[in-house]
Amino acid sequence: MSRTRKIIYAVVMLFALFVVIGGKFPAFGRHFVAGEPPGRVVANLYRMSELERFREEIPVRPPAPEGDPQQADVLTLGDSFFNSTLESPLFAQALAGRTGLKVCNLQSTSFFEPQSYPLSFLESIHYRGDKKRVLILESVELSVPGRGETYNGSFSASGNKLDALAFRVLKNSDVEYFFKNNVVVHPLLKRLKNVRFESFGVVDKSIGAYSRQPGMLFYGRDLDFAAQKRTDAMLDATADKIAELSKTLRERYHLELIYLVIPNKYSVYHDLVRDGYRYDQYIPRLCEKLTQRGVRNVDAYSLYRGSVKPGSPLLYYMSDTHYTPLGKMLLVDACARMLGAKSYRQGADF
Amino acid sequence: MNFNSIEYLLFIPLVFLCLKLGGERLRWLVLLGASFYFYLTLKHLYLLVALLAVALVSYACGLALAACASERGKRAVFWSGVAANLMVLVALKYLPFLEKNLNALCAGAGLHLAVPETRVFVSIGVSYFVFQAISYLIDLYLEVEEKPERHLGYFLLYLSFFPKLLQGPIERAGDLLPQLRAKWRFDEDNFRAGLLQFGWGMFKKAVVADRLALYVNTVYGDPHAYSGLPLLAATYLYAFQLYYDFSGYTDMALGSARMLNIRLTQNFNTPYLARSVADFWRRWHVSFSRWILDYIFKPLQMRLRDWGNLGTATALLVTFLVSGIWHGASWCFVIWGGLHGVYLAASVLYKPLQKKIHKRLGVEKSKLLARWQTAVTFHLVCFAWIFFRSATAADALYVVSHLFAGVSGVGDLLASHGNTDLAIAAGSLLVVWGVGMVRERSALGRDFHAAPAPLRIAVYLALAAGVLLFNMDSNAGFLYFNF
Repeated sequence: MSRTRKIIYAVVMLFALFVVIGGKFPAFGRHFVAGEPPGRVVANLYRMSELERFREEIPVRPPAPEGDPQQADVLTLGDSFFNSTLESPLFAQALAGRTGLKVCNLQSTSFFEPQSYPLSFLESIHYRGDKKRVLILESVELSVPGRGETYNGSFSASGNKLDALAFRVLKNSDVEYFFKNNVVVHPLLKRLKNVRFESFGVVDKSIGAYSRQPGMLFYGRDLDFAAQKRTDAMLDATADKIAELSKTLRERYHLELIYLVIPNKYSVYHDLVRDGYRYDQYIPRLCEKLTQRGVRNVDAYSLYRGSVKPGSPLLYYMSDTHYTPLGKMLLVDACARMLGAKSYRQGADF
Repeated sequence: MNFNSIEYLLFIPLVFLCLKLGGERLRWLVLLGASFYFYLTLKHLYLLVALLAVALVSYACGLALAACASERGKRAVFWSGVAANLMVLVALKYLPFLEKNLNALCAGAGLHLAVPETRVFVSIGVSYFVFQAISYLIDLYLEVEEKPERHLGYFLLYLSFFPKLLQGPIERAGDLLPQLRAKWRFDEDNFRAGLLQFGWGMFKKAVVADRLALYVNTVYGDPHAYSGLPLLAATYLYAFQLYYDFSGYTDMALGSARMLNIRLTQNFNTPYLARSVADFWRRWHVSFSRWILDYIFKPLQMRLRDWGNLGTATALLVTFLVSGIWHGASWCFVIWGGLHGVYLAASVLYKPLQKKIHKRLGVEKSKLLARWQTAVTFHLVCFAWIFFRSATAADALYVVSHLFAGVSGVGDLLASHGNTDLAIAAGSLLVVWGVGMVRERSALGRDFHAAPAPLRIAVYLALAAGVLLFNMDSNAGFLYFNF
């Protein structure tokens, strides 16, 4: 075997080792990952697709300091929509600005998905239900059926440790991420993805669909959600679980629940995709069932669809799954109206 | 960990690195560790426990068989080992099916007896290593193999060697164990041949099979929404999807093993060119066909030899019913196996008459007859695939009864995933067909490594470009994982 070939084989083996170490040990790997531009984030769907045509960098605000839930009037708990600071303050801060109420956003870096296990999470932070407060619980639409199953359950810490161990040793999504995003492979993969798209219209598997006018990427899981048709019986089951959670929160913590489902981007803009799945009115149907069960809620879908007109400003970023400041403020206003706060100040700047 | 995943593409060089660092003495340990890790990435610990249980029982029975002097003692050890292995298979794969049907039977008979249904386990790979373990015991018992494997490490590796762990080929101890024991050195010719075979398998899987799956899954996911030509088209496409999926997997398995200097059994030999169903089974999933032929059909045929052709036909029917059940705990697979049993049994009984007819017509050596037989065989196999693919027997019967109920909708089906996918699907089918022809008919195809370097490099680059540009990016599992 020639010396050159020996070197090639050695390089391949060592590169594989480098990727595994970089993936499993982020402290090492992050030095070799293509970084974010300072003060901005790259839109998440763009990052998945890497298509230059859809490149979007979004300014991000610094995270707000954590508040004290015991001192607040309103608590917010949710997924990335409630924790997003893309071009705008946190939802909780915006709501505080609109209403003059003390709003505390519950977040956790140590608890696995607090928004999926609100009861376990409140217990873990030793929350005292010493006075009546409002809890705005948010979930993105595609996660509602799954969270309906976990809301009243408890999160097992021991299971978490085992999962963490299994994740570390056996689950290699971290290695795969590092492989795709390291400084050696990333430029090649990006070039390949753009060639595939421009030549054959092929996009990354995580992207379900795209539109050209306006140029928008849609998350694959949004489309998977849209492809499934949900019966009334299925919605009733989810509404029952949320109503049960509402009752427990009231009895155990004196918390009045407002349930907010944020539509998937595809649900709002499915008309832009040719031959796309129709929307089955999941949110309006669920909201109606929640209202029947006495759970206060915001029908964000109807609110958004009422604001979508040809040429109107977008409610979601073109290449991100999250809402724009306009989309956020529509919901902040809706929640503020629902809170009926005395100090609600229409049009307050933030 | 799938062969068509980034994980696996990193895993292989790391196995080589460990082999290099471990040296000859630790080779078996490196391969065993790699195989266990490979299996554990499925994240079902009980699968590894089952593998270890089957291995330990078979290893102990193998030693006991060698130590036993009396025929009676040997028989007891042999049947105990086979029964223990089958129990593992039944517990992981068939228990829910048996319980469900027992409950249905009791309910039908008006008995108030409800067996609590156990959970459904993932059983990827179990059928394969259990069959391998049983073949090891049978070969020892019948003295096809003279000595048992005394090194537990090598025996574990024989059952768990990662390239063939999940979907075979089902290897005989006599073929694989000596290769595992042989002195290892890096052989560049084998490495390059293995790499090319792996890449070709990847093309078949990620470009051809996964793209055909778009159309097949659309129809077979909801067959009642279709009728006529779309059902027919989806059935033909499924025949090719399954072939390129499974033979793609096998190429990747054989390629991986060959990179490590180990030759596994060729599992496919252009099965859709078979001239009879018996010929099809000599070309399709060859390691499995040999297994059922050697260990089920032949002993049965011997027992029924007094019945003449009827005995052979009965043995074939029973063998293929077992084959159907092996493929999965569902009535669809039982019917599929039964159909193949009926095809083969009928051909045994019909063969003398067939010979007379061909002789009378003077067409014994006619090319037209050969093509006609190939076409008939292909359609018989496709008909059986309907039961193999359908989710339920009711779906399969719907498909069968509506295959010729109109022609509308096929255009919509083909256009449903866009013109690009349709064009790539058609183009890639042409490519695999063309390559098959070249490999079959030209000396260059049979010994590609003798080709001039520029041609080889061009083929490598074309293959890499084909996979990178046209792969479905779906990381979809292989169809035969289910069995």
